[in-house]
Amino acid sequence: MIRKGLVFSLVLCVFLTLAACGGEENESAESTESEQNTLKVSYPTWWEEWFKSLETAFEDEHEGVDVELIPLHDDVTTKQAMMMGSPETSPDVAVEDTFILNSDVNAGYLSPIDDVVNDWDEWDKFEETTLQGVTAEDGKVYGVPFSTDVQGLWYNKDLFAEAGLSVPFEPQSWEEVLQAAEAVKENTGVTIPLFIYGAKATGEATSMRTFQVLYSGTGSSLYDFDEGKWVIDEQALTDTFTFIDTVFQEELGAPMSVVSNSQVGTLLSEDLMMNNEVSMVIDGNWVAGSWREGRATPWPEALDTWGFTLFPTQNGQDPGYTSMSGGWALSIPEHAQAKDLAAEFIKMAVNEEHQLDYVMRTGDMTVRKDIAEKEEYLEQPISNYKEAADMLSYTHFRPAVDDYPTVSTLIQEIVETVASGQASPEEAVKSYESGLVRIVGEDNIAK
Amino acid sequence: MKNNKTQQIIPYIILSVIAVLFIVPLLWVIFASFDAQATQVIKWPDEVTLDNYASVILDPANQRAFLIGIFLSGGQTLLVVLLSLLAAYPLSRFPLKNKQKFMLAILFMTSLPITAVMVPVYQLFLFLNLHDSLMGTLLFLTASQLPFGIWIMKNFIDGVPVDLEESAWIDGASLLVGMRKIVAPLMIPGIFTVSIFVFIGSWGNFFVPYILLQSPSKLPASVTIYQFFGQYGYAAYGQLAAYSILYMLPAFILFFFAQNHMSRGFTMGGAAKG
Amino acid sequence: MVSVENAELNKQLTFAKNKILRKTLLFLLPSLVILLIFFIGPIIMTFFFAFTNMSLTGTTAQSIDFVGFQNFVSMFSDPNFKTSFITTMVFLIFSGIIGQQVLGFLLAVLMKNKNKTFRKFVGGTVMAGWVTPEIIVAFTFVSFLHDGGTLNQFLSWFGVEPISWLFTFPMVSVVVANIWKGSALSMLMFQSALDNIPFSVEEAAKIDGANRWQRMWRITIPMIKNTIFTNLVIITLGTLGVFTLIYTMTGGGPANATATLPIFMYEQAFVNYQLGYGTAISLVILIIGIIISLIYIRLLKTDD
Repeated sequence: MIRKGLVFSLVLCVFLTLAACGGEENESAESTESEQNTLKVSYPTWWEEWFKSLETAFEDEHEGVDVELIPLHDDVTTKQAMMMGSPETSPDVAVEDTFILNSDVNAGYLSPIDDVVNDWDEWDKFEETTLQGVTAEDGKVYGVPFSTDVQGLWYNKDLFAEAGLSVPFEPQSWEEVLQAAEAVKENTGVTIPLFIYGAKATGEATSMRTFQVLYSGTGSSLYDFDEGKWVIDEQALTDTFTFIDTVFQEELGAPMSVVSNSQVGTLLSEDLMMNNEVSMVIDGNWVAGSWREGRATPWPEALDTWGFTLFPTQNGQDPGYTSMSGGWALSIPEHAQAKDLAAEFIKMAVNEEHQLDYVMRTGDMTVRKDIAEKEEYLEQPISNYKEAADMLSYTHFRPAVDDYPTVSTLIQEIVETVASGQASPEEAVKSYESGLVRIVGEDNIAK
Repeated sequence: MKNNKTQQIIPYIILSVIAVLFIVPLLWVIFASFDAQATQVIKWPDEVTLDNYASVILDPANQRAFLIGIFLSGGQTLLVVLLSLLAAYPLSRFPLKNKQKFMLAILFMTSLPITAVMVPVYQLFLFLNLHDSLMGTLLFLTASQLPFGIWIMKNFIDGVPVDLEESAWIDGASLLVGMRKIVAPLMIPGIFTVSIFVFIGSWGNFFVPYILLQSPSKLPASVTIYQFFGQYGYAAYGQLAAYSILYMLPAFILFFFAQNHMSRGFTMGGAAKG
Repeated sequence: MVSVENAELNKQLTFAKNKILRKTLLFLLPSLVILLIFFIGPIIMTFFFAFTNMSLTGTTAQSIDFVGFQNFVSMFSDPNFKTSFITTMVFLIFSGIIGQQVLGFLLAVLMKNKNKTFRKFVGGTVMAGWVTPEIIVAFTFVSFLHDGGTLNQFLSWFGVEPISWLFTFPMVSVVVANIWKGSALSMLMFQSALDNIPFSVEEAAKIDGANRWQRMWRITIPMIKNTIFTNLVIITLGTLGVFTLIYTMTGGGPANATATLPIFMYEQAFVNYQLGYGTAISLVILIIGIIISLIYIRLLKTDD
């Protein structure tokens, strides 16, 4: 009878060890069997509906193929990097934010698709500027772009009129933007005269839509590609942080409780902007997309109220205006099991039909030249592609180098300390300097 | 005399105030979960509804997440109880040479915040090819509470006189039968104490599965409820509250069964002895 | 009155008994295996990876180098680490040591010898906090403390303007939530300790004319010293590892005001993609745990 106990505990032991290692093997064996017919596509949840339509279209076109959608909720880039790290969890198609694409290439997560795009008759239809974002340091192409945007200044014409400001609003310097905000604050009951992103919770938006839109307007750049070094321009940094500091300390911006809401973008377009609670917003051209028919909060007359204008450089210095562009691409991970199918899926997702569908759904800018000329595209309801196309000529891109994602989180962190009043602009410059040294090392910094 | 009476009343007042402070935040969850137009302020619903519950319960993704949660937390609880009972028996009964040192090591491990050290755990899982594995996550969760389980169980078995088993052996009972018939029934408070601790600690923890599991389809309710909060938490208060109530139920049910044994558990297990 | 034969017989019996029991040593095996792989394993790996530049993306995701103490040099020159360390200590002291411990003790003392139904009611409300899963505690408090939440509503009756608790007093908010969540444990431990003080001891002190405070300081507290101490360590280490509660309530913000070490570790490793640096922070967390444990074990030993 004792033996029974011994056997039991031994069996338990073996079972646990096997379960740990063996369970996995079974699973992967299973997936190898069906992998020919399954295509795993991961994407951020905010594109749920577009990807669902792609799933249906692709399954219709390819009989016997099962598209498995893997929606990612938060920390999308992190989660995706973790998934792409091994064959068991890697999706076959991944959505890459272009700011991290180069780093993911260096990490060995993505596979080059030059072979795919070179034989593809539609590849020359893509805007050249968007191809920058999908070409890595090694010169190879690692993704097909499907979306881009520009940042500008949204302003509320009704509130501007109420505040006695002239419409259309065409600010020529930061000072004019701030003055307008002050005027709105004094003459109307608006609680948020000038919304800018200012917290870690909003991630890249804080880094790109606030910090880098401003910083690019000083004429300086974060990274010197000729030297291959990060730049510390104390004056430009101080001026940028001072603008942010002014917005929040003069209570022109939103309270931190609003700014720190990671869903504040949605809150803005679906609530604050619709209810005249904010008079200016530095944000992307796609904001208008959320007022279209079929979205959560349709607002056909939105553009009667909201104007979209170029954001000026600091003192109006050449070229007068500035903007930042982000971008998203579809990539094939190195560990993808169904690379051929993945390539087919990507080509379909950005073909004329689906690209048009995508921009109509989201209000993003198209990455295809042929679509950019189409009347259907230009004449979309609640769109501002003329202004956006204008902004595109002043736009900048984030430096897609290895350390950018880490530097960007540093920027987000520092912007938050300034916005919440915990650091002065000068202290913020110091933290940026020491943070940069910590991340990239003294040798990779040019002063 | 009057002074004495006031003195007697004061503790009642203080305690009542504390009780109210503890109950108010929870009342919001309860009321809001039945409220068709729930806000963040505690109020009796104008319109009582079960829709919030229905929408949460009927979502198949929630059902799956809930079952996975039960698998992880329930499985962890069962494994910790079973393994620590087994381990504690020889540690209590057999005169091991370095038992004292071994128990100190266990006590030492009890104290390490291993679930706060997720980076190396994630790396270990990558190395063992266990990431995104529910089984692997279950085993890690088990390991994280095992030292605690062994420690408590050993103290409990120490409290069960060995004579009883010996006389059972003399009556011809086997070791296992002795364990099951004599020791186990006397261990019920210990089993419940360990169970409730392990389950509650695990049930509300979203950090460990959040790091170790990648596929959205494998995420337990603790993670999905967090995501629900992030996505809709600022709008659908009623649903969030209903989800919360449903999510609290298993912990409260287990607690309901365990509570009578817990105070004994504390007297015997909690009073630490080296 | 043990005769020689009896002693001999006992010896034989013990021998036979141990022979049976020896086999039960195998019962230890499953636990040992699991602990070795999933507990000791990560700890050993912490010591290894803390000295590498491993990252989640970028070149160093696939080619890891040993970088010596570089992570630690960075850490100690990182103002955020200092802030995080202090934040952790503040959180430990106020929510753990002072909050949970003192409130738990107060509850136990006040509840002693009170009406049974009343005791059950108060105890039940406090226990409800403990039984509520951590993540739900976080939601509950986010709503309770929100700009338009219950607390501000209540304060508005007294003419107080709404306060953004989570942003104006972030640390106070998470401390209060953690006290709410954890005090029940201290209460239970102190209750059972107080119940174990023989009635006669207190009675004797009463007769000696000692007043309430004197009895508390000279009799009660010394007699439950062990419990206080055990409780202190359990709470300290439990609080050191708190992640879910803070992360859900404030995400460590605003501006790192509530970023305790586990949150700081998470951010560096999984948001900033620096796994090596994150592991170094893990090591610091472990070492703090180890130091507390060692102090605890040492004190227990001298106690025996």
